[in-house]
Amino acid sequence: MLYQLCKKNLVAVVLLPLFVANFSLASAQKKELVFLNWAEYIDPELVKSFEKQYNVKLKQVYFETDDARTEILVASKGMGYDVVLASTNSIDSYIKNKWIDPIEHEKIPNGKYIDPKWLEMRPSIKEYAVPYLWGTVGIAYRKDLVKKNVESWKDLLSPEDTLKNKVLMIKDVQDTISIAMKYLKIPVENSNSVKSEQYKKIQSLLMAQRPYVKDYSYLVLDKKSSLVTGEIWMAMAYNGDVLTLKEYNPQIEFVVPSEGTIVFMDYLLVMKHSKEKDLAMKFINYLNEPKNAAKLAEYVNFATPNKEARKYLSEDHLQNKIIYPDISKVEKSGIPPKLKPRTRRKFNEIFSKVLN
Amino acid sequence: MSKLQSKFLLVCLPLLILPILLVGWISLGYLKNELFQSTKQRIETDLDNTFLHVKKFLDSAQSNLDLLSRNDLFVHYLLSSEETRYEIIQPSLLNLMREYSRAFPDYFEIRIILPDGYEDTRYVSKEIENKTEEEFETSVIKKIFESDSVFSMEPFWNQDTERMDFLIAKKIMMKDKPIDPVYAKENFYGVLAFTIEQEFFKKIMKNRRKTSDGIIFFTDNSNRPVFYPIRWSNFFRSQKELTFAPSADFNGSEIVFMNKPYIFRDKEIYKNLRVAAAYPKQLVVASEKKLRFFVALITLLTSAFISVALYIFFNRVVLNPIDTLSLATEQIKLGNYKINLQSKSRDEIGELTRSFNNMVKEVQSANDHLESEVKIRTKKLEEKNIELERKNEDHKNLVRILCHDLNNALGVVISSAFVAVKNKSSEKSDKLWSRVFKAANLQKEIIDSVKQMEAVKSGKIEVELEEVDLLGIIQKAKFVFKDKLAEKELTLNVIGCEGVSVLAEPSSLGNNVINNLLSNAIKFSYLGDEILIKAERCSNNLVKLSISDKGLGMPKGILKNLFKQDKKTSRLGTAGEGGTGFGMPLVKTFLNHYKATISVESRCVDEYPNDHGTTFTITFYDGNEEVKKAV
Repeated sequence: MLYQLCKKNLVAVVLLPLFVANFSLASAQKKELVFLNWAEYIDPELVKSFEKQYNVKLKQVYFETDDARTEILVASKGMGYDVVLASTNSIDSYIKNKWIDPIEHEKIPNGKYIDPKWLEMRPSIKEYAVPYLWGTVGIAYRKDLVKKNVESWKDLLSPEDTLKNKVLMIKDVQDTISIAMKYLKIPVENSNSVKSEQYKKIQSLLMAQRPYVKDYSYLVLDKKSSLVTGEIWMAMAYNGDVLTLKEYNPQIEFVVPSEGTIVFMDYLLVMKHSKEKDLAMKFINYLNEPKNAAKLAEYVNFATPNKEARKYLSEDHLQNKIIYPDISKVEKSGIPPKLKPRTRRKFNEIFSKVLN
Repeated sequence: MSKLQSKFLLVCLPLLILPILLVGWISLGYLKNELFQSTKQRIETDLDNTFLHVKKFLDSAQSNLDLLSRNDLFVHYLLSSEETRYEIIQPSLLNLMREYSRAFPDYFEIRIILPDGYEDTRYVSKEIENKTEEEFETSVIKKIFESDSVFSMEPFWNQDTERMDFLIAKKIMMKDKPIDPVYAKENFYGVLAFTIEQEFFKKIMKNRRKTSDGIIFFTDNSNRPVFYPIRWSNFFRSQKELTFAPSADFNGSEIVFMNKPYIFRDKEIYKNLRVAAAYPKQLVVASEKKLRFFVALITLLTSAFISVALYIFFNRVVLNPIDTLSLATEQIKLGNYKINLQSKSRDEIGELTRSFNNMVKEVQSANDHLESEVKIRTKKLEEKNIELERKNEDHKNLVRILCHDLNNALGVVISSAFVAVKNKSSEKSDKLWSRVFKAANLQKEIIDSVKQMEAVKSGKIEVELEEVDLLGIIQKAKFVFKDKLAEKELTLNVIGCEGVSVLAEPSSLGNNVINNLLSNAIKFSYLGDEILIKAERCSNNLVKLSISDKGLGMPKGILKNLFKQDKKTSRLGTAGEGGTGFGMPLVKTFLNHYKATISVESRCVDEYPNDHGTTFTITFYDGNEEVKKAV
């Protein structure tokens, strides 16, 4: 029977070993770098040029939420990935879990272009993380559907009746609770000392918002996005994402509420168990080359921490108030502080109830 | 009610009804036992079903708890520092718990309690306030921590919900690190617990209640009610511990709830959870009463139905036919034989009816025959009576005639004798003596004739019929009357008598019949006349004999009474000959005995002066042997 099978597929039998051998050879020659990233959060051209320049293969693995990323890492015990993109508040834990290695700064000479203020923002992580992009959280809305002038977190957290089941909230514990604190005028920087009554208020506010919320997730960044289609009229969103969606529907607007907002910074991390640490460093260095950093920022519509990259950024990008909000609003904003464990536990508990 | 009915009812009904009552009584006992068994079975089934349902659910919950406790995220969570836990793992863990809770909505609370009693992670699917995070304050957690078992199942008073809920907990024992050597000691990392809301038990109790009249509830191992139907809340809340006693009727226990007895059974699901079933004893008693009533009703109805059916059957099959037979008998008694009873049945009654019908037919036939006989006899009697009357009359007449005739003859004799005495001897006296002689002879003849006739009629003279030669008889008669024929110069011609015999008695035929007829013919013939005796054979074995004269003839007045002995028919002959008047009745009497008939044809000289005379025709039976036998 095997004979008959071989006889019938003589060509395949002859060519298969050749194909396998060729494939193995090619694979052996090209190194692979596994990058755990958000979807649509890097310019594909940069990926291609990096692959070409270093004759490597960049394999991207996407996560949908911060929690999902953590789950992936927990499940893999931090193994299997070379470079991971993470937000500020996760990194300390990753360090403690020994999932990531310190950055070898000598291998990232382009690191000198990064604005030091971003590096100093969270000193505990500066040896482990290289800033990638930063952005703000605000309110995205459809100006053709939402008749009201949107300018406050109140419009999102305590919306009008017409917005029932028309709101989308980011599924992020600290970001969500932080904007609630902004609205409730509880200083976000004092997150670790929130009083019991304040927690109750936060929980009540978010619970009261629930009937208006269609989903707790993230905006999809393509033309099928619910904000583009009009299924969602208003969303808690990251500024760059909104600019991407605006290209699909110009009726989409973004506003940083008058109460101020939270600023986020994403970092690139090199995993402890990475077998391609050098390549990982090269990749980070490549992305921090001013031209590349500018290209990345232009593509994803977020702000780059690379000060040299500004030279290469278009005027449109630099003048875009969504990417670079007014200083008055920025002054009222900031990166939420690192939470104490039990504060974080409390935040988790509240958010868990909200998600129910 | 007829006697037969009474007898039948007295005998048959008890024989039928008593077994039915006995069957009813036995059935009642059986059904009562079945009722108790069925109630017991129902309780057992309720108990078993609930047991299986709860056991399956709690076993499944225990498995899920175990599964969750072995999840990498969970393990990593417990092994991580507080910061890592809350910062990076807890949101995911809460998501995982949420998924569990969504898949199993009855696990409304999933908690991780650390070894120091601190409630580290709590997921609740409902908005329920967490009253304390220091769980050592709650006795159930303390109990679980102190327990030697890895898994604990405890009904407990939930401070957060302020009601009884159920806790399934697993003590998490792990080595410090997954890569610890084999000999590394396991450490206690806390407790993972599912809280199952009491709604789960209530739903079961509610569903069971839909299909059963009993109560399903749950107790702990000290018989304290922990989950019970809402409507029993007030009662059960007041019960610290249930007390029950062995049941007299059931293989189980009885318990008193709200002053009412309940049949009680329970079964251990887990060490500290028992499922209990209670069934109102009153319902069993009520069912038993109903059962008793229905069995009695059915028994009575069956008895009544059978009695009525039997009564109808008996009436229809036995009594009615007997009544009909009885009525028919009455009708027969009244003489109505036109009865034909209908019977389709093939049983003995039918047979009896058919026999009765046959009997009626036969009785009718016998009766008809009898009536016919009676009629014949009556007719005969009547005829005899008439005959007797006639004879009586004849006798009366005979006596009267005899008196008259004898008186006349005696008168002649007396007067003749008187004259003869006075005249002494003379011609005249000779004549008178001659007259006396004649009168005396006449009286003798009269007396002889009467005697002979009476002798024949009374049977003193037996008339035996035989074949008689007619010519011989006529020759004898001719010889007897040769003088008289000569005196009147009469010619006697005999024609056709040779070889002819007739059925008669020869002596009487000659002496009384032929002689009388020939004597009369001579008496009433004129001088020189011819007398013709003629015989001829006729058909039907008959012989006709005619004696004809051309004499005086008879007037019709005499002719019609000629053969009657009570009528005076004697006349004087053509030569003044006298007569007794009994000759023709005597002839008739004898001819009757011979089964012969006589007719007379006469023309009186007064009416037929030229063609007068008398012809007597006698029709005899032929005298041969065959005719004799036939006659």
